[in-house]
Amino acid sequence: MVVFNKSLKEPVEEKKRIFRKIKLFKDKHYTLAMAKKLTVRHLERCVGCLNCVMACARERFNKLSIDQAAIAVKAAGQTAYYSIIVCRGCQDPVCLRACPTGALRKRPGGGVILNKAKCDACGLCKDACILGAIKLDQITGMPIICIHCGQCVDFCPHGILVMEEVED
Amino acid sequence: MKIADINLTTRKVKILEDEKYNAFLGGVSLATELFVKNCKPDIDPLGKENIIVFAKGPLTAAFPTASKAVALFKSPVSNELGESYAGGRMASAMRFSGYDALLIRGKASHPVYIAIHDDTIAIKNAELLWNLRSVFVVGRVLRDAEPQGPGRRSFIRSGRAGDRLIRYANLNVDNYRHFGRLGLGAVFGSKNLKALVIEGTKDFKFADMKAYKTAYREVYNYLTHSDVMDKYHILGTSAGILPINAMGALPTRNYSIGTFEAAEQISGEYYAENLLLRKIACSQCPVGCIHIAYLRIPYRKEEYDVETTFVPYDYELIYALGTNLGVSDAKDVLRLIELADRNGVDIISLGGILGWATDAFANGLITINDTLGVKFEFGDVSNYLTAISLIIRRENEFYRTLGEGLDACVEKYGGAEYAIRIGGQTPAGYMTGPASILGHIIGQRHSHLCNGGYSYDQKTFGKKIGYKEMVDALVTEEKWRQILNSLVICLFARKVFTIDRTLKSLNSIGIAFTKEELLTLADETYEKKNAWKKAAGQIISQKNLAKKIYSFKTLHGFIKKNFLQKAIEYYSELSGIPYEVG
Repeated sequence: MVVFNKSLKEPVEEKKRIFRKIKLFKDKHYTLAMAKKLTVRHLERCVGCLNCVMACARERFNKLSIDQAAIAVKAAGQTAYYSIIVCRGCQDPVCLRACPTGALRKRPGGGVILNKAKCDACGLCKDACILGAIKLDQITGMPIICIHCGQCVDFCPHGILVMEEVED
Repeated sequence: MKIADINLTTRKVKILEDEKYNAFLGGVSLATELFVKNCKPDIDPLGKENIIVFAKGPLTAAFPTASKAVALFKSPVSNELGESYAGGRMASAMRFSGYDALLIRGKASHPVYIAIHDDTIAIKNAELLWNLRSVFVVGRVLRDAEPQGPGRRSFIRSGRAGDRLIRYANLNVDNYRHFGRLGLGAVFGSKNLKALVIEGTKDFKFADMKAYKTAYREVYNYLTHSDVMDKYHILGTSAGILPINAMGALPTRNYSIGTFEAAEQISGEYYAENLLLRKIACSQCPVGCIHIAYLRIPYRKEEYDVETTFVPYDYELIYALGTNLGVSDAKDVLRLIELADRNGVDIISLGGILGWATDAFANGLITINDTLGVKFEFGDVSNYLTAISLIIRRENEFYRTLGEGLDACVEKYGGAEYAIRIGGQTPAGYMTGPASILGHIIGQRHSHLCNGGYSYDQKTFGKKIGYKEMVDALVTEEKWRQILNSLVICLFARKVFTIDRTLKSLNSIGIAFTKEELLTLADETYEKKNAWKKAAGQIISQKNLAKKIYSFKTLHGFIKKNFLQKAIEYYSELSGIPYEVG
């Protein structure tokens, strides 16, 4: 038997269970566990199937959507490889610095966490991120930002996305 | 169900939102209901009365491999029901723009394209796109002209072949997928319609998201952790070249023989090792079977100038413009594919036409005056390249006839024995035995994918099968595929969507169908199409089968006329479609 995703030893369900355990452990012993962030390791291998996008919408936002996802895949014409547009997990986030209301705080491991209660939907964070990794919700105008949960990683058939350990 | 009814003559768009259509599930069942109610069977396929129905399925975008869209129209090739499927991003774009089906009718006063962005449906001027030399350029212009939307947009367009009403013109979907067969490109051309752009930002929530996620994972895991999709993922469909050649079932030099001496040089393995640029996937499909080769052709060699193009290849294309024309160089096959693809013609049909022309030329039915100096000869690529360009240009009477299809060629120049055709078009290249041929004849769209006759031949190798048993097996398979085509999944994943998994998937997103309801719907759809086909004057017959077919040694020996006739008569009894003795 040949599996597409050589990095996945056991089916997703099983891996999820283990992943959840680690997450629990991490929440309890926050300072002990090494923080992780989502990284695009093999961009050039992308086939443009959008399964990461669908996974983000489905697993995190409970929706079937291409737009309501914190990751996007963009074709670059016939000649170049796809772009995978997602938060790169800055240690000193540019978007955070642009936020006038203090709605964004640093996430351990990189990137930001949004506090919706403080967000005025001004869109300045979106403008600050020139990678285009922040989208605004069409209805609320609030930012859709990757929280580096790693749900998409399990659904990339080519092992392009990985959760990478980060030194704080 | 939400259906957009677009009238190109009056430029009016009606939106139908009606729950009564829910009973038709989606895909081909929904499209059939809309098509037979709106298109009269006796119309001219290139007249303004023809209508086109596109539909997505209930699982589209929600489940992996449910990535296809179906089109129904009256075919200018077979002059009966046209049914065609394409992948790419189209079905997904229909889902997120909120439409289950699109109905296009009438004829625009001048070239137009339809741009759908969520609830906006605009009919825009396309005069600047008409007769452009490449479908890829059309795509590029539209990508810049229309609002952005990463991963959401789909561009469906015809090439010059469609604009010039070459009957077997195709539609290009997102560069590398096609509504290939039965001439939908020509129907677009006849409506002054150049392209269809679809994009949308809608989102959906299902009542039981937990059940949906579980069902999704089951399908996803099976797709990625079993070996069912290996054939398609690893080498793509061109994995078939060597084994089918070994079976003696690979049509070579216009169906003269079933093995090609240079098969290794144009095999899936050769392409993957030497010319594969990359693989890409349709939306929401983890398989990624689309194999794209790069084709590098130096010009002005002393200055090291080079033109590089990107050419998708598949088993059927390599057979049609490779083995069937005796072309033994992998790059030469790509050159032929590229030229045909850029102009938007169906490559299997084109291969059959060029095969006929080569035999007809060798036997003096057509002369060098007709061909404007082109010496048709198997293996001679430069002549074939010139001929393709002349067909696209509709240069003289001879090349205009080539653009009208095999039936027209035979009527004008004779040479029925060289015309390999079923339903007016060349079959896909699987000369595995009687089920393959019979499957093409009785299949509702005369395709190898109607009922998988080629696969049945391989499964029953060494067994003697009666005609009734064979017809029954093919009809049962074709009826089941009405469901797969209503979902609309990619038929490559047909082993993944068993009845149980299909029901579980549907139920998980709140579509309450039972097994019995599905099977009844399959029967009804199948019969509804047959009734329309009968009214359109379809007759099942082996009359147009070339002699070559009967002298072709297949896995099951020679194909016997008597056997086929009995099978045809039996099928006629079952379906009510009249037959003819041939």
